[in-house]
Amino acid sequence: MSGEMMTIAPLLTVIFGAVAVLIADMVVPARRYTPIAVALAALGAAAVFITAQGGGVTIALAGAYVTGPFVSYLGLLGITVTTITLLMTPDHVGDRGYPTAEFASILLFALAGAILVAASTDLVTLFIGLELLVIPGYLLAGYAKRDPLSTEGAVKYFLLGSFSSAILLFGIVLLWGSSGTASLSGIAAALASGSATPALAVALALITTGASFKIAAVPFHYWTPDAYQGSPTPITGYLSVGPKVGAFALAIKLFLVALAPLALLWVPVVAVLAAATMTLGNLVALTQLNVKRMLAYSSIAHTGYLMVGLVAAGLGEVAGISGILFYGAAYAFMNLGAFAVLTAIQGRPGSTTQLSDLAGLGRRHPLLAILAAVFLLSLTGIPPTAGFFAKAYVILAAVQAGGAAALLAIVAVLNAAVAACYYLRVIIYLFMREPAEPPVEVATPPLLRIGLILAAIGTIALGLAPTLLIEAVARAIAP
Amino acid sequence: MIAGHLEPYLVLSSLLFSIGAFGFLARRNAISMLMSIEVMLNAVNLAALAFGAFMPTLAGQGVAFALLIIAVAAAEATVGLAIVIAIYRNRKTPLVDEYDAMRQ
Amino acid sequence: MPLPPTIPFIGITWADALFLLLGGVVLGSATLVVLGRDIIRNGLMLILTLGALAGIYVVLGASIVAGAQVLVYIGAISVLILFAIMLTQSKSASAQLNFQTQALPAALASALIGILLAVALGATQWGSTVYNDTPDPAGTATAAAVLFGPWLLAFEVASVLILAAVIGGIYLAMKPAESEEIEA
Repeated sequence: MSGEMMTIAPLLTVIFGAVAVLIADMVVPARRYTPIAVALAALGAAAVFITAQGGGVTIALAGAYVTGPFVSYLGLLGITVTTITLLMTPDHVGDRGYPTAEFASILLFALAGAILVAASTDLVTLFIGLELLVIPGYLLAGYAKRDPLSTEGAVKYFLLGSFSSAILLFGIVLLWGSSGTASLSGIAAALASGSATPALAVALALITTGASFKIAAVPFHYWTPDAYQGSPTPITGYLSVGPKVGAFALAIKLFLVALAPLALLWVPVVAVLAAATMTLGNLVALTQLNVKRMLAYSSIAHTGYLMVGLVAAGLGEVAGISGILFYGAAYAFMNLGAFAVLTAIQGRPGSTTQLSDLAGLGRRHPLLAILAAVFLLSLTGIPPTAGFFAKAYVILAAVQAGGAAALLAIVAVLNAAVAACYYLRVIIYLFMREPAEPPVEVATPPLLRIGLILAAIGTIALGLAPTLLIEAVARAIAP
Repeated sequence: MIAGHLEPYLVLSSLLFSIGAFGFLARRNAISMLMSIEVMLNAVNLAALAFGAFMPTLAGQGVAFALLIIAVAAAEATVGLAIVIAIYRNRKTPLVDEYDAMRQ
Repeated sequence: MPLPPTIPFIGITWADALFLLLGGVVLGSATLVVLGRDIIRNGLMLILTLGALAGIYVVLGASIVAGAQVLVYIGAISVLILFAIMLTQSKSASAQLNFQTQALPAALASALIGILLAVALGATQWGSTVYNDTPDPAGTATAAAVLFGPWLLAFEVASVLILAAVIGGIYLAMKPAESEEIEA
């Protein structure tokens, strides 16, 4: 294979995989696991290609697509997230009478978008990649199309998502027009040498607003709870991880590459948004009795912690970026794991995810309850789990950045304490409450079991040996 | 002489964008909201073409950008209308503020 | 007989007159899109907005985008929207209140955003070219060199994006069959 083909091979593999899934479904129609197997094979091939690239910097298509350790890291993370989602979902949607082929295909398209966001070097490719990442998200949110809640969540997700895309796009066009180039590094150079204009300020405001919608930061978060609660549970797990980590890749590209010379303008705004996001997400999560909706609000809080890393990085602290990258991986494992547990307790179509449904799970299904406890402890940030080191790195980066970022670190620590209340309340229900009558029907089909185990391994391994990933992260951000 | 300057086009684009934003925020029909988003995207397109026509370094890029934005808008409209049709089948109303099954 | 450089009696150039006329139509019809009570008329007004914008694109020298605007936006997207309107509107819907309760704050906020954007963009020193009449045609060849040169990846992925949207859109919009059960 020529060098350029090799460079874009992961992207092509994922796109062709998405088409191959549908072809397989056409050849052997209406099988639940065939499309999943094809999709997993495509993911495996893409992972092999990324590994074969060895993390070296290569350029394809006249510089529009540049791989390197950063792209490899995010690509492998995206493949992991997609794999776990593929394992969690088929039985859940299949038991409710929905096909798995379209699901697997749409999910792979979203992964292609995420890879493109990470590898793009200009505003146009970045925006198209973002759209390829989020549009499949709207489709997946409404995947249970006979379920009014699912379509309701999808319509809200779609409308707010498109609205924010339009805002972001206007900002991107103004930035492009102001700086006279679409290249991210070219924009940074133009901004560093030019003077600030009113148009640039407007562009920055629009981009910040649009990006805040995409990562679900307060006050642009209100689409999140409905979109997350309505979607089929395993897909909610994906939506709370995949598009969010992808949107942070976009934020790194836009704010830390293109807009880096304007850091003094956007860092204070992002810092205030981060504090508000953490606090509001946690406070509202405290009041939720539906565990799925609680996790939706807690995912808003996690956005806030990730934004702390963005602030630290904006102040010139490189550890902020590595904090975001490590947090992304840890969050992916623990949040997908938590949603996999919720998927298991929704063994029967039509079952709910109220807190009372989890009561006494420790007595009836001890193994599942222990896994649930691991994920919840990790989400709380208790050592030795992945969540602890994730929070620690982000907060340490903020402290090292100093000044107002140190203040933000204090807010983050206080918030972690608040978050402990509602996460631990779930654990109390799991182990110290009498089981509900009639007991909830738990179903752990083999694929879901593998997904749960993968998520648990990730959560625990990153907690016991964080250095494994830290080295990869350090390589990913090395210049 | 208005048509030979960049600024009038950008002002027109700004006003069009805010009209679309108003429609999105104020309407309660999902399809009306989608139409408002299309108006906003067209405002962005106008700005892109104006930059392409008046900024010498962006010659050609404006047209290319605008064509890609049209493609994205088409994809968004496809998805949006499919979702609206799916929810209408379930709920028999296109009015977004009646979609409140999840409010607590 | 050549046209005089300015419109007789009014004294503004033809290009300016065209721009003002089309711009007025764009703003007026877009306002009707968001204000009108009858949603089918809103859809038709949207077509008028898009058509007038195509005219402005011609003034800007981007006739290929004007063509795409007519073909894709007016020909496909607007018709799709009108289809969806007719599929989903019950007779009672159009008689109901069309605005959310927070329409007034929304109007104030949008007006503020519009003024802010217009002032900021109008006041910026762009260092842009000034033409005596209208911009020179940008040249489809220049655009093609960009689209199939540095932006080739974006162009190709746009087609992937549309493929994904169509696959998902068909799935969601298709009437669910009762026998959609899947064998394990």
